[in-house]
Amino acid sequence: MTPRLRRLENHPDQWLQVRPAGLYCVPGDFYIDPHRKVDRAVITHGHADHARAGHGHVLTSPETAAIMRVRYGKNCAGTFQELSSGAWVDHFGVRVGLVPAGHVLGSCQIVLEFGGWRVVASGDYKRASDPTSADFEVAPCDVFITEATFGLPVFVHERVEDEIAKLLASLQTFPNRTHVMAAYSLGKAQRLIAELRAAGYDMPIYLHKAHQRLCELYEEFGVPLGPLRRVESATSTALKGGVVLAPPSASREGWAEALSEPLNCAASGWMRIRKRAQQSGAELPLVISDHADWPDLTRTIHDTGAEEVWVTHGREDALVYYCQTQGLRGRALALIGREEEPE
Amino acid sequence: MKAFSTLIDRLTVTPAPQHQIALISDYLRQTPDPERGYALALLTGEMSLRMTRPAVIRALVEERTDAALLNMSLDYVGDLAETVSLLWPASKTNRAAPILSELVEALPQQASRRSKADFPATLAGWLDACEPSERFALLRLMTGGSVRAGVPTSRVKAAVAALSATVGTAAVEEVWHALTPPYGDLFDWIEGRGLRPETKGKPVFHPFMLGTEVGPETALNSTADSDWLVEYLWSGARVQWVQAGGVVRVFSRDGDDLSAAFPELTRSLPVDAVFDGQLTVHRRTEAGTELGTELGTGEDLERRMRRKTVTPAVLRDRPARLKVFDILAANGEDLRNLPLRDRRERLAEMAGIVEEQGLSLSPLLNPASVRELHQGLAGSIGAKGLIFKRGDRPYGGADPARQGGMKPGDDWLKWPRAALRFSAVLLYVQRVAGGSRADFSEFTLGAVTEDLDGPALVPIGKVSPVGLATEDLAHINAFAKEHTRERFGPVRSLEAGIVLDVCCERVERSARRKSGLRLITPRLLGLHQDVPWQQAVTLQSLLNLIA
Repeated sequence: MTPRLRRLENHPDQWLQVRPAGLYCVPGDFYIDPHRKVDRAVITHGHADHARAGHGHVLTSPETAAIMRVRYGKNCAGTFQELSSGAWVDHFGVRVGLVPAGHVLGSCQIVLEFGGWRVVASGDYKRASDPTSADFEVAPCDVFITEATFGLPVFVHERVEDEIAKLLASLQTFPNRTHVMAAYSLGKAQRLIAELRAAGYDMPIYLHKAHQRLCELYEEFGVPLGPLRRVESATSTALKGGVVLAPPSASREGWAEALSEPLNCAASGWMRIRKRAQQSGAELPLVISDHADWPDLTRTIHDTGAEEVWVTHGREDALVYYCQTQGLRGRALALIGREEEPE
Repeated sequence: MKAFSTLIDRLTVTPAPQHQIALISDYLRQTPDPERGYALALLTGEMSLRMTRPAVIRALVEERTDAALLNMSLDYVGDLAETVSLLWPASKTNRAAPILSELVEALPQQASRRSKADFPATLAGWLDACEPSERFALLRLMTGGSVRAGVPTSRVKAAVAALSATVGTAAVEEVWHALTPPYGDLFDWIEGRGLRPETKGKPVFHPFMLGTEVGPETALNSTADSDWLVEYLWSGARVQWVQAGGVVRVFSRDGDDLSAAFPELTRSLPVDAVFDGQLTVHRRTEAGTELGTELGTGEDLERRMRRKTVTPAVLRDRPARLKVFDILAANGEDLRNLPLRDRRERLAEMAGIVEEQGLSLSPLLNPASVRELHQGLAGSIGAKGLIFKRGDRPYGGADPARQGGMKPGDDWLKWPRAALRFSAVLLYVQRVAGGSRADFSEFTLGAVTEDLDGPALVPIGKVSPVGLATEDLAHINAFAKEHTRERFGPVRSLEAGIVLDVCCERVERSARRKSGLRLITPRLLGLHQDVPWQQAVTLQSLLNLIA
């Protein structure tokens, strides 16, 4: 094993910094999920707050690269370097590897090895099963950089099959109402479709144009989604008693206005909290999330064997506190380096 | 428990009555007896499963969770039952979540002193066996909280009726108060396995006959026909006074039992009867003079209707009275199929005994002088208009096989008092969050007062900008740009300059407001372009309008 003295000198504090553009690896000269244009970026997954257009060089999974090209255009980055999970690259003495994060198609945790230390940046992740995304893999490490979107013990997600059963039951109770599911176009939409199929729902599912291209991409990557139709060209009679997936902003479009008594559904971890569910205006709030809930956040911290946990974007306080009660060094990432971390 | 808690969760976020009814009837269809009967009792507030206090629950969760994490969670969620339902550690247990019947069985044990000490352990066992949504319902029930999700009882009864092709909501309402949880006889009847539950000799609710609101033309044309009876249309709350087997009940318009809240109206008569009438709440005047000389406000009425029980002070300071205007049954005989004239005869015969028990009769008015009566309404305390009733018609709720609840009919025509109309000054405007610049969500109006330094303004109430023409709104928008005094988030206070044409149903006293009054259902009619603000309505003249 590496001598202790050397390890302290090379502690990740020294070579991972929070800079205005995001988390920066000093020896490798690259950022992880930068929110500004940078020369070199390693991207965990395709959601807009993690993957942006305009970087010089992007290292990411083949799926995420494809998602970025679909969403931002072919030339959204100078060059793409695609790395499959399990493979490694050496870059200025930093070993970089990708491990599935289970969040959406192509989402990865980023493993960094430098100076005898191993750091894992989780990006967004979940551990619940999802037919549209490779399962989360535990990557043992010294420092685990975890998300904390649902970093409070009250966030306990439901089993996805139970929530889908609620949707199917509602279709029975309200056979004439179109169930309009507000869902973001990357990940949530495809997961809902795949889970509906897994539960035996084989009717056509109606998609908003915002969802179409990414659904096609998922199918190209071998995720079957069953019969899909465009909602804009469907008659309101055809939509009666059917399921529509649309982005949350689409509720005032023509097809939506033409529906009689639509039943608005929402699928999100925030639906766990009654006040938030009521504020959402959804008549069928489903607790389905592509993020880890509190039990999974805490379980994962233990599984990685990390002695030190850096907590980023979300509700850091409770998770940092939890780490301390477990004898681990827990820190909110925003406090390292810069005071005015923008996240 | 799972089906029940899922139902509660969905009712909370389902706004439309017909959809709430569909959810409840689906639940009733899929749930066996007696479970669904207890659910029915909880949904209508007929039963409470209160067995403990929030402090006991808090102590239980504190034993099981980290104090700091509990506090962070409580801060975020804001509700103890919900926080505990989510935080409660999952445990591997073979026990199933308790069903309502199990909780009902535990209720009497809990009342005995000996088992009280064991109760926290029992509750913990239940919570272990539950999922979050079940835990929430359980905790609400255990602390006596409501699980009714704002669903009126009439809707729950409509959901029961929806199980049957032949029995209507009105019929369910009529037998409801003769039944007790878990309502096995009700379901037997609804689902065709048994006879209609016996209501004879029991104080049950009778669906109300409803009128239609009309304007002066229709109202006056109707009086040309001599077959109409004319009465005052009273402010207050419509109630039904029922005595059967010597037991008196007062039912709200929704069929809810208000008897416990109005003990002064539940003295029994020497004969059984069912009356239709209007309940009013009064204020004892300072000198302690005769009761009823001063009509209470709408707030007074709402407060008393919400109470479960009353204190002697409430009975003294906010006494209730009942004006009876119809009789539906007497001495066990159903009178609803009699024409109104005959029913009125029967009522008149009972006038003596009715009035001895503190109820009063609403008088019949002279149809020849309705115009004068309507003009003189301000002088009759508590009257908010006139009502015309066909003298030759039966009571509309008479057909128990009828589907659905009562629909407003043309046999009763209501002619409310003309709205009060005045001009008021625009004091504050509030913009719609995220809306375009000319989108206002609310205006605050002011009235003129005489200050030491000359005329000043005092806020009298808020009103929606609906009713103003687009060009009027544009004018106000342009004015607001130039004449804003202060901004408070989305609210701006304006210099005096915009005078609006306002109407409202009436003006009530309100001790909580600076102006001392409350406008009831104010509306905007338009914009006065050339009226200086000093000529707008004065606070004193509005106060004078308080009936």
